[in-house]
Amino acid sequence: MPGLTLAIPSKGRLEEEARGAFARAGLTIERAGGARSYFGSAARQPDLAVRFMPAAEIARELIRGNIDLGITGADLIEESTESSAEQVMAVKPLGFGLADVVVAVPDPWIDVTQMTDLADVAADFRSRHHRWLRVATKYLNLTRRFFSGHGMIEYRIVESTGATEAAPAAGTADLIVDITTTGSTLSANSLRVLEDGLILKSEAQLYVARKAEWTPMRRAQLEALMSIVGWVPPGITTKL
Amino acid sequence: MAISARCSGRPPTGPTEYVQAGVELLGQIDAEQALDEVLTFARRSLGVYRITAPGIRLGGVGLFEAILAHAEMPDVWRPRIRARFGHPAAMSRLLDRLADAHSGKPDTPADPIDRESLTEYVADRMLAAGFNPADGRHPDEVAERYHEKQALAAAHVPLSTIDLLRLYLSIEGKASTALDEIEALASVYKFDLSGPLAALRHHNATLRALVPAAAVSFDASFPRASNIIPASSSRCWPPTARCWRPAANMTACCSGWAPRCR
Repeated sequence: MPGLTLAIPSKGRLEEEARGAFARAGLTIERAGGARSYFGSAARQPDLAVRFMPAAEIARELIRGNIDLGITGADLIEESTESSAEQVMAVKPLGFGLADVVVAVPDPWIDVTQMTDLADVAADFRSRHHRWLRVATKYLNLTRRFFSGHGMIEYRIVESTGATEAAPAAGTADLIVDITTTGSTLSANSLRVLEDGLILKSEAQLYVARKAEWTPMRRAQLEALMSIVGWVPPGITTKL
Repeated sequence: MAISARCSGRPPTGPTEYVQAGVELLGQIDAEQALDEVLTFARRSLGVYRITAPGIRLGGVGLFEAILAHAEMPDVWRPRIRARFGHPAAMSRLLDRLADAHSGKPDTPADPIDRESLTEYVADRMLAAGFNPADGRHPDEVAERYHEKQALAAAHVPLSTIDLLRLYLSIEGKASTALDEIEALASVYKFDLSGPLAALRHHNATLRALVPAAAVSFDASFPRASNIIPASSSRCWPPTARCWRPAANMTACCSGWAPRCR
């Protein structure tokens, strides 16, 4: 592969913000076919292929090394791998897509304020209710890792890819793990974040894939690209 | 009766996966016979992969429970400490928190609200928020635990007990040496651990006879795998073990050992 491949989130605020961040840094990203096209280019950078992809897919492809660099959320990277530092290099936090991944319980659970309480509740939930405590989330791996670290093992995950915060009132789950920015959606659904329930502070970042094929020429291209945007001092490729 | 085996190391890319296997024996009522059968099966399985000198780690949930039963502390704390066995980070946080409670902060005063009013209050909030109090946690359950929490905050675990638990959980090494250490610890505190210790020594001897080249170690804080459910110890033999919750009509139990593939 001669040139570098850069992946940009394919829609919504993340796309606008990502293109805006590059534009402010002097690199204009074109999307020739409009929102329906998944291929783009960068002005005066013929060797840089730009691809528009869903943010979760960018995380996966970065980890596999199928793309060279991309913008995606830290939550998606951490959800997709247990050893992010070995697989991707976070180059530049971009200050948008800010979100906290948190554990939230129904506000009327006045006895549950910390993870230790939740672990206690989980431990005898099944004998009381003849079913597992259910956690709605799209962050299966982050949830498992975080709960296990708090000694919480007796629960079941209900996979939820949208409107997760409605799951407890709808009766499909007892609590949730989800992202929040201001907390207003959670409180509107009478959910409360546990005092020590912050799993991850996330934001959009530019990542470089460690597992991509870093030939001397491609390293030079990456250095050149980074010098144009000026986000990191020269020498980034020595850390790959 | 159950055992598990795990190959360490993880693939260079992608999500972490372990090559692991488990054996579970149900229906054998004679516990010693069950142990022999499972260990013999495991030894033969290792033979298939030409593993003759596995590392075998023994754990001791029964021993830990015996220590908990003897140690001086308010009863409300025993099941809570027990629930964190096998989760080193969670256990360490709990013991730190219990130790902090001695740092001079005043106890939380008992809540003046009686249980009935509190239950009503929780039920009102659940209904107002659109949660169905009949599904999931009941208002009464929330109120009960809220009161229990306040009792917990007022019930201190003595610092000497916290030190003992930390010391015990840090014991790790060659099985016979570690068990001697635990025996010495028990005699200092005048705890009678002869039953669980004898069982563990027997377990160790059986393993040494079956797999002479094995390196058998004992880890007092044996971390159980996250998908294994702890059961009450009364159904279990040997009491050294990590346990599965048996179905009502089964006599099932467990011993924990994890041969590392080389």
